[in-house]
Amino acid sequence: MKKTFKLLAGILGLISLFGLLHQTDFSLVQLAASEPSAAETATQSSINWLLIIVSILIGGIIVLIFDITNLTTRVTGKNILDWNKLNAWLCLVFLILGMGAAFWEFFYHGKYVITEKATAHAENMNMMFNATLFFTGIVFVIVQVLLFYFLFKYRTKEGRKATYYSHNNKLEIVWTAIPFVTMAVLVLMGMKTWSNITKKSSDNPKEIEIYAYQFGWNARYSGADNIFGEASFNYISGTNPLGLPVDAEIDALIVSLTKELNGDTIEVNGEPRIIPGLYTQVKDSIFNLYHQSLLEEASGIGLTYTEDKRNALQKKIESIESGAAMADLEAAIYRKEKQIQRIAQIRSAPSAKETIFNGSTYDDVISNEIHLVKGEEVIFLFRARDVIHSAWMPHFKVQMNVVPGMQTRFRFTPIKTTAEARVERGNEEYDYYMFCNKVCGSAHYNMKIKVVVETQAEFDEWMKTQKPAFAKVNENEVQLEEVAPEASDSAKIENKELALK
Amino acid sequence: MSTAAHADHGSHGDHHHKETFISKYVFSMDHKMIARQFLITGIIMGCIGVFLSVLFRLQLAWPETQFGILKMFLGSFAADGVLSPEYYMALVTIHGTIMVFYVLTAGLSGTFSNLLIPLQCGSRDMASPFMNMLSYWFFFLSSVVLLSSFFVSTGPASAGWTVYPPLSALPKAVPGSGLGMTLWLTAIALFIVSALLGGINYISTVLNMRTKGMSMNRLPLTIWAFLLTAILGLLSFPVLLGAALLLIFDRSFGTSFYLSDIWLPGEGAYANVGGSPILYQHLFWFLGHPEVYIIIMPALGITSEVIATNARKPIFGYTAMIISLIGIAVLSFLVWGHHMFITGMNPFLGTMFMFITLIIAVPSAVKTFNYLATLWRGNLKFTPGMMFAIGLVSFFVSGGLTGLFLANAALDIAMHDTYFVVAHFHLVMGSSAIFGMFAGIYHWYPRMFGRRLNESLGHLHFWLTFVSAYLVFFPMHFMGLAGVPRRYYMFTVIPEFEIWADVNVMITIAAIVGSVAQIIFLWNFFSNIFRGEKSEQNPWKSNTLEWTAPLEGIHGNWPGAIPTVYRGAYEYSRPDREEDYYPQHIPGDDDGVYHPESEQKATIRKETVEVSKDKEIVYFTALRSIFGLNKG
Amino acid sequence: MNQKIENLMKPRQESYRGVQPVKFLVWLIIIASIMLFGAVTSAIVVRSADGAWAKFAVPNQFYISTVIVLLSSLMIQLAYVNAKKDNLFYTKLFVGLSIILGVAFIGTNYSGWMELSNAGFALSNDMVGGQSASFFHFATYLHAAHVLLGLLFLLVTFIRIYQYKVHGKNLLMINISTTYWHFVDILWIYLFLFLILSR
Repeated sequence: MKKTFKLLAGILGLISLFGLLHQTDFSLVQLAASEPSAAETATQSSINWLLIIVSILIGGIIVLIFDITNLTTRVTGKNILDWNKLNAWLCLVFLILGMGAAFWEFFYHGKYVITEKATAHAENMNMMFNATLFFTGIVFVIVQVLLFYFLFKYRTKEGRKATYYSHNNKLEIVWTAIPFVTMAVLVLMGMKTWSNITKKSSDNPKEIEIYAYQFGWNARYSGADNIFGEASFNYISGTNPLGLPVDAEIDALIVSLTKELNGDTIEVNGEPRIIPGLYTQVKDSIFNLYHQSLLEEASGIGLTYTEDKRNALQKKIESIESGAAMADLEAAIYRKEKQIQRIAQIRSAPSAKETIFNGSTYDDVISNEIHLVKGEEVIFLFRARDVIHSAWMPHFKVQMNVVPGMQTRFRFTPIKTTAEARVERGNEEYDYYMFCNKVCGSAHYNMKIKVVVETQAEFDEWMKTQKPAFAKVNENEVQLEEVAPEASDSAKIENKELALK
Repeated sequence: MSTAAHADHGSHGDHHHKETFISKYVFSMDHKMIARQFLITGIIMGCIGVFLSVLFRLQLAWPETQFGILKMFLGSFAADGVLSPEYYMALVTIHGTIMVFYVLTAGLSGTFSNLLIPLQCGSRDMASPFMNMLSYWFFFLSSVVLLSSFFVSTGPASAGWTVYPPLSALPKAVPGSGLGMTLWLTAIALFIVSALLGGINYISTVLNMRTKGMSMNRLPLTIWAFLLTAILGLLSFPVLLGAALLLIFDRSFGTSFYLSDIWLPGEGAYANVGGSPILYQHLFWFLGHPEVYIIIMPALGITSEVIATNARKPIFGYTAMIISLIGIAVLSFLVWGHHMFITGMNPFLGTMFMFITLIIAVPSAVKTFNYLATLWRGNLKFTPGMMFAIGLVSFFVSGGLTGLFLANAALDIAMHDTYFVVAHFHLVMGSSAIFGMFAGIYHWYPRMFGRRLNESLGHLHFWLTFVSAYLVFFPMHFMGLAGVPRRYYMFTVIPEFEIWADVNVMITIAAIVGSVAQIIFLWNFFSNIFRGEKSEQNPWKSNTLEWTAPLEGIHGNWPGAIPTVYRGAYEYSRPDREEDYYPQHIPGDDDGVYHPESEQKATIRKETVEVSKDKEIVYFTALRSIFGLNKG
Repeated sequence: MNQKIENLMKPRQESYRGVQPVKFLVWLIIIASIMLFGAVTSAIVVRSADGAWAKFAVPNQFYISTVIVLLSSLMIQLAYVNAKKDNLFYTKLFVGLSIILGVAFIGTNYSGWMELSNAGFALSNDMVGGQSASFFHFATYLHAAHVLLGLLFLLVTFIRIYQYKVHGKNLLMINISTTYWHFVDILWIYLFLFLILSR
């Protein structure tokens, strides 16, 4: 009696909850601040409804089953559901439906699997993949079928006793040996494929530097002289984002670093204004003064600020009071001093002129697209600015981590142009991309660069439109070139050095 | 806890401390209580982990839709009800950390090692009950520290659960690497201490405190699995501690072990030179790979026990099972490099790692085949525990096979860090191990709480979870093969991946159904602690020792002397016995091994006839004529 | 309280096979420590193989430390032998000396770290190849942490000798401390040799 009452109450409660939700339109889910379009609202609410209905249905089923089974068990002393039989049949049903679903998936979504031969090594890898799929597919089907079939077949029955069968060494050796042999085959095939991809190429492949940063990529071509300069994170500045060894840029960087440390005077409306450097800022008296002024601001004019601005102000004050601001300043000073020191060290090395600052980077081309030539072997030299990234070109079966402080490389040969790929797909807009595939920060999901594969002629055409990097970033150099067009490379550098002095 | 009524525990031993509420339920040194503490903390952490996954699944299915629920739970991290990319990564990171360490390491092996090692070995308690208690409380503290990072203004750690530096070392690169990361590292350091304190206890207890007659070759496979798991943990967790300490030094004391050549906007060039980020990966995966076996081996051990008990058959190939466990344990230390094929490692090293990784598939295959052989001609009783154990086998096969693709260095180039990997490890170590854990919970619930769970709800829970887990993870294989990278906040910015929009919606719905199904379990679990039907002493008619100790759970486990063991743990359905089980502690007139010499020939002949009458599958008869039944 | 500690130390089992379980625990802790130092030293090997590895002179203090370590190992062994013979006075004396030597070890190491840092080879340095010094500091700090744990063991033993809880028939505590202290000493010898050779 009590149980029935509880059951009824449960159902009533569910129904009323349902009605309540219906009336309130579930404001929890629809907290839209902007004005969504009608279609958007429709999908959104249908999604929400789906969620709600699914959870309510499940909740209802739980309560019902729980109470019904409990009731009947208590009354009759027997379970209403013979779970042994039911489960055995469910296993069979699951096996059939599950296998069906797996095969459906295999043919329906299987068509999206990348089997494209966009690179020379893709065919090799496809073969390897198919071989593995063949072996694993057989095992998958056999084991799953046997598993669920056994469950169905050997479900408990009245008066039956299981067969006492504890081991069979021969059988066990056989089913250890079979996987072992299979693995040996896979290992051998895998080794061959792997060494094909990783082995050093005999002919000199074209080198392209791929530079990764939060959150984007650059490609650097070595230009006419075919030599990359030795770039370093020490030289990176706003106008020299890849940190190329360009003397003028580095001089400018050192000047700006020194100014940041020592302070600067700029002209505002014809009047000189002093911008305090880090050395000044870090002084106790100035620091306290700053703190004081912030406190005054917070208690006075700060009260009229918007909430965000007030919070920002409060954060500044807190960071000063906790010592974080001071520590940050000191760290910044240390970093910049070190950077100046390191650059000086590199420059003072006796062979620096010949090996690093020899001007070979001046004709490098920096691009926001990767252009490759069909059929030409290429080797990517990867460099990262900040954290680990990973260059991932799914259609080319190319992937390599890009690690700060360490050069990684990947060699491959594209064998299909973008134009061909477009024709194949019937999509005029289609483009290959390189993605980032190692979590690297908030915009990781949107860190990509277009990859264009084209014929040699098209590539040359494109290369002509690209300006050498230094010309892009360094106007002095352009003028210099005009002044002394015939000068040899080394003379050019000497000239430039003189000009700078 | 129902056992409160029976507080007048056995007067065993030379110590008589009074039991207060605190000493019984909070700072308890009784392994059974510690097991319950581990389990309940693990379940709570599991709920949080699953809930987080639902939150980020919502984002993946409906990237630009506004969900009030997100704003409600996450506040400014989901302004307007849309998850921020930073917080998406934090959710993914904490989901991974919680599931891998807190649920599947501590919750699974912590619970069942604590519960079963003394009970199944026949010991009064752990070698050092005090260290055991410390182990739990370090774990608890660690959980609290980890969860507290949700309340940090810059958000929890968000560099992925592997926390690769430099990302995890640079607060300016991602906000989660500030205080959130510090808390993460603290939590993990505490966790390692907990795991080590627990692990050394398990090893010492199994090796030194077995009861009379319990030789190593009579140990239940659960204990073997727990022992090897503890050894793996003992050898690998210190390495993670080393890696974490180096990272802590890099973050807080200005060293450059992992940092080199870094430039960040607004910061300029960092002073660090000469560090190697890859060094961290080597150290991390030296733990990280054994860690996945630390997760799956207890689950496999539990499965062996549950399947044998419910199939009413001896586990097939007991020795082979142990050898393959040992094989897996040893090899697992030599394969960490397969996580790093594309870090630009030496191709020769890659070959070695590929070779060993593929070889590790052999013992795993042997285990699977042995499970199948155990089921063959059994008398299968489908208790919920049994269903979950079977679910484990199914997942283990499905997920394990895809490992053969990923182990292949060449193929890994095209699969590394794609959804294929996500599908692989969620099936083979996520779902599998969770199912092992559920199997254990359903099987040993009467042992833990003295009461029974509602069977119907258990089966409902199983089927909903089983089907939805396959629905969630199976399609991900195809996404991965189509090049979809993991840990992406949304796919709408890349036209090529838009075809997966509807699949993503389907996966999310399945994930929600699967998660909601866990409420059934929670209800079943927590309500029956107090109101469940009282269990009989040996509800599953099992052979092992834990069912001989009073279910009320007294101090010292057995009121009188510890039972002596006369045979192995899997003597089910012996032809010379009326009953279909033969508990380990019942004296028999043999040396513990069934010798069918005299009956053998007759049995074979009889059975062969019987089988051919049954028209049972032809090749089984063939197989038997080749290998011979019942011969050793 | 004493009763409680007594209970913590004793397994509840009536009998055990093989090694006394608590003694065994200490061996397992030692294995864990070995793995930790194995990880650190192999990290050093891997990193130093990459090149750019700054050379520095190891301060003399660390050589003194090594002598101290050897001495204290001898002391604790003497203490153990005396405890076995129920020579409680000498046990006390030698355990006390071990503790003093342990503290002295930390002291000499501290002064060594200071000298090294003053020479420019600090834990946090940003010279090229400065990881050599960073690793030297890191590894020796980690060892010092182990010494502190060992000192804790010794202190407990010392107190328990005063309580007449350590004698020929109750050697567990002093046995544990001796084992661990020897381990810490051997660890230092290994680590120091390794660091000298790889610096």
